[in-house]
Amino acid sequence: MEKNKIETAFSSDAKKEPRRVVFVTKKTSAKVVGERGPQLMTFPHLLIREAIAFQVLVIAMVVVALFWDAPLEQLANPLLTPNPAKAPWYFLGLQELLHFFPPFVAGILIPTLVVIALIVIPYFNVNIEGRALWAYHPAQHLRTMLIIVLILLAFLAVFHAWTIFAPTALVATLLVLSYTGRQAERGWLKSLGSKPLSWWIMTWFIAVSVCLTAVGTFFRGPGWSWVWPWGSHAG
Amino acid sequence: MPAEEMGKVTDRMRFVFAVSSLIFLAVLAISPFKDYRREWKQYKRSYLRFAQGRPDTKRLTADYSPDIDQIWLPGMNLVDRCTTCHQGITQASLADKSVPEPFRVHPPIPHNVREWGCTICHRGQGPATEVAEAHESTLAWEQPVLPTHFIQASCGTCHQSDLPQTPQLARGRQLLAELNCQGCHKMQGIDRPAMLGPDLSSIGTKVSREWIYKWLKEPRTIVDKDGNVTVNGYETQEEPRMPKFRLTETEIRALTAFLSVQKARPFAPYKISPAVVATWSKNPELISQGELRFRQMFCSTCHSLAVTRAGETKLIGGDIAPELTKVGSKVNPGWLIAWLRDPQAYLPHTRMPRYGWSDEDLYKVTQYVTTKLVDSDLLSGVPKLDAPADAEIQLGHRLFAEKGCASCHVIEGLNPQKDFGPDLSALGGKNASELEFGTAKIPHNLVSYIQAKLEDPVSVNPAARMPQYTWNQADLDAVTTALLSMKGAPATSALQNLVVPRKEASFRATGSFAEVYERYKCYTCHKFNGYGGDLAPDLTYEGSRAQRQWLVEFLKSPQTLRPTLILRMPQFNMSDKDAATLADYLSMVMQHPAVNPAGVDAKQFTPAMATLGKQLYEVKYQCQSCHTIGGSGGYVGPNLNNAGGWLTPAWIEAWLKNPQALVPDSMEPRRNFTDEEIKALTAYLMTLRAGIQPQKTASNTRALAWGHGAGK
Amino acid sequence: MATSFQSALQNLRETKVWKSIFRRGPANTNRTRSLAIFGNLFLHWMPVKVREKSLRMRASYYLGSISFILFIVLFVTGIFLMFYYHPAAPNAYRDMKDLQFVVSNGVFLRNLHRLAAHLMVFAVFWHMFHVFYRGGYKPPHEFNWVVGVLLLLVTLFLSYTGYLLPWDQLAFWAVTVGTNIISAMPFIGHKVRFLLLGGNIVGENALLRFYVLHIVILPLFAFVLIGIHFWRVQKDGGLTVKPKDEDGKE
Repeated sequence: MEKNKIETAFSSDAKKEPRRVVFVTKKTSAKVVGERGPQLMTFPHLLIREAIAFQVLVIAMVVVALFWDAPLEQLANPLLTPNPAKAPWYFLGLQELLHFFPPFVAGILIPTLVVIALIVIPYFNVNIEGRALWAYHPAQHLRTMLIIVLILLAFLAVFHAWTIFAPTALVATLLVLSYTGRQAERGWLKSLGSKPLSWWIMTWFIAVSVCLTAVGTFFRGPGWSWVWPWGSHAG
Repeated sequence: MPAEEMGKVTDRMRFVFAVSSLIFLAVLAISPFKDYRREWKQYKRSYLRFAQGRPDTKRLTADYSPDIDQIWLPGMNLVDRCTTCHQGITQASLADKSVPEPFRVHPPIPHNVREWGCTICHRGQGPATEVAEAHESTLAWEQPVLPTHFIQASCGTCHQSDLPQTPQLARGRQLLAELNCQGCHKMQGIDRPAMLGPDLSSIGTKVSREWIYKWLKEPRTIVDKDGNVTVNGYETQEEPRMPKFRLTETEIRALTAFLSVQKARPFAPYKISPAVVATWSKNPELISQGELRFRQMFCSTCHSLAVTRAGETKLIGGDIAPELTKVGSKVNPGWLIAWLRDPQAYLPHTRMPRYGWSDEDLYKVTQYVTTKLVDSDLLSGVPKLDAPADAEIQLGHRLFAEKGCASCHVIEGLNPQKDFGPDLSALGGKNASELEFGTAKIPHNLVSYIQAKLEDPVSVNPAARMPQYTWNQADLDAVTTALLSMKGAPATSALQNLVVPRKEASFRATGSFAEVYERYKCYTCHKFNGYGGDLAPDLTYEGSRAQRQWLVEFLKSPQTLRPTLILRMPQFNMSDKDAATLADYLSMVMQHPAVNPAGVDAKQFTPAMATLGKQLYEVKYQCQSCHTIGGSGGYVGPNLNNAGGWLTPAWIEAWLKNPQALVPDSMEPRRNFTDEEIKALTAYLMTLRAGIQPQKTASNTRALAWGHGAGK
Repeated sequence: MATSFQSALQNLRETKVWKSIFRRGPANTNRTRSLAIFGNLFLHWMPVKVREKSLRMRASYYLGSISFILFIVLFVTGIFLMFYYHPAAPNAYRDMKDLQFVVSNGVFLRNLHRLAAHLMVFAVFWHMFHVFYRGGYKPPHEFNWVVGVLLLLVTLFLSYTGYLLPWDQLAFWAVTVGTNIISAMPFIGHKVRFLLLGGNIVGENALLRFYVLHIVILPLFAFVLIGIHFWRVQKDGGLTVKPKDEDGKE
């Protein structure tokens, strides 16, 4: 394709192969990187898949909705506090945090920071190519990571925040394992060893969130004490 | 890739799409089908089929509609859809047991289902149209249907006075009051007596530490599983007031130590000159004269004694005051004589009246009590208890409050804990989730909880302070019913309007009357404006009924009129002044609003009228079939020998006009006398004087003796 | 039968009314297939062509589509539920009982709405994590990632505001616990909570506010953001396809 020469669809066989006509300038362009690979028509390929997805999803939901009833308890009564009073499941991670940290930290600071962090992720063009954490200066990186992780674990231990400590320790263990296995030929260790730092941070975040939410949902009883979901309550 | 290939979908994909579309449509049809099969729709259809098999199909299906039937009473916050399935509850022909539920008719009650709904009495979830949701306790509705065995509780929620149709509820309320439950618990609709247990401020002067030990270990009154009450081993009807507390040996010792040093009022034994006593004590008849005096004083009107007759031992006497068979082994003799002389000096609020006994009588009766009314085995199991140590007294002091003793017993300078036991006034409306079941293996519902708690308080709460009661099944169910009836304050004003409050009885004596009234404790047996005991006649209208002079004479010497009863007005040895004070007050204040005793002048009556009246009495109306005059007549109505000296002419006239207007439950028939006849009869009755026609027979029927004026 | 069905369909397509609506023949050439996309208001934000790789399961697990489908299910069932609902205490709770005991298929509707709501929160979270692991936030998708984060927040608020509406113990205390956290905000916490609840406790005002948020304001935000989100997927060049996928190793 010659530079500055604009090819339009008028000259092509529009019936057989319609082309999108766009005027691409440097300022407004979406950067299209690399070859696009083989393409398919949205109609019907994507649409039929979407339709099937819709139908399968609705079928599954209808079947569940026929046999599972949405919970309904007694009329709201401000004078009768259930123990424990639990938020919806997706906030139970936060409620679990509240158990360890003061309300301002757990209820305001951390969620705000998480949201801000999520928003700014794409604007730090760090490591766009997704270089593995151990690609350069692995020993130095390991030292830094270990120091950070140990400080974090010590901090969590001081607050007795064991439900955060456990997933953190798990991810840290994987991190160390991936260091030892970074030169492996194949297998999960090799794939772990090729992960960038951002992957590790997000994985840690997800592990902690899932752990906190699961604990808050299933393992907390009266007074936010630890209970086993299969353990029989009194009577 | 060839251009045309870009638009071709594989057959596999088409197949998947086709299958998923079919399943999609099929699945969407399930819910409407499920809806058609809903429980209530099936009951609707089956009622129709049932009705078609009955001879009175037309009447049974007259109101039939295939839709939901609901009773909506916004004021009561009630939406009841029970009649959607219970379709025959107003069909009288469906009373037979063979009629399958839920179609059977409701037993007749004074309330119409359309005006009251169902759940207001039966509980359960009114809006529900599914069997389980409507009747059982669920996450969304924790008030299951009340078992019919306890249905009287629902009557009691609104009807705060007892109804003749609710004996179980009435019995439960009576038990709650008699067992002093309100000593520790707040409850609605149960009277809290002025004094629950005896004042123990000076108990150390009355009994020994050993006796207290014995009492705490084993209260004198025992109820067995069949509900038989025994006092000191004798069967009685008396309800035990003091329950059995779970106390350890240490706790009992501490409490006895504490109580044995309670001597708030300096105890001054009543002194009778030793020389005089020495003379009296030489009397060989001393004890038997004491016993005679005991009987003459009619102590057994209030107290009972064990009497063996024909080989069977029974308690004979009243149940107002303690049984006395073994009291000689209980109290200190010095205390007893002081007590008999002036009971109110020891217990200001005691119901025991102050008698004007002579010193000699006091001495004789005391001797009789301390030598004859004894039990040498009473304290046999009690260990030797030394003088109480300070530590024990301290512990006892603490335990007295902690164990709840102070809730029923007064000790000067010791305040009971406020709200010692939980408030029970809303217990009957509690949800199972609001109750603590502990580790008890019982169904998680309110009825089971109440019964478990009553039978063994520790079973649901190991730290319970509630004492141990013994119940038979009927009493347990009765108390459960009464507790279930207490649902707290009505939720809406419409419900509030449904409450039928109890008639609040109140009577406050005033002035010099109050002093005498308190000294003789008139209210123990008599009612004044609805307040007081019901052993003796209601005195609310006594001022309209009786002549003042008659009252004075009667108060001074009651036995002249009522010779041979066990339960009768005691001889108080009342002074002229006291009798005059009481008589004045009664005739001035205790009047019927429609009967003015001064309104009819006895002077208007002529002998001719009296003669006519006598004729009417004996011939036309045959009054003698119930009333006695002279030696002849019936015993159903009161003896009229002294009618002229006793009743006021105004009362007689008003009574003859309409007896039930004065005493609603009187048996006296209401005759349609003419005014002349009433005047004549009154004139005749006013001529009757005991002195003129002396009484020849003395009836010992209670109805006669107590029925004066009331005509019972 | 298949042929008669097809000929009937063909006849239908020949009618004037059909042609006035769709203005194109059967989608049997790539041109008419393209017309089917950009000639339709509801599809025109889609690209005419998509890369084959991006249709594969592991490219997206259709998580975005699933989230949107759940949103549509919620929208439809929610409109039905609105017919039976009064945002007042205690009528709201009574309406739940009526749905359960009186309304035909009422329980089913409510179950479906509740289930879809939970699933949507779950699907949106999963979608975000998946996009992150695939590097979907990288240029030129930065802005769409931010829109996605906003959509996550809107989804959470939608679910949370809906949680109160049944006005039962579960709803009341979950919302009480949640809104109590807001008070921990320095200086303005209590004011913000008051603004959200219309009072100092969760009461009838809170119910009304949550209702309006749940059925008007938040869905409006969601629709607009979803529109932008989809639009930008196309404008940013479709789904991110990893080099590995391009290699054809899959």
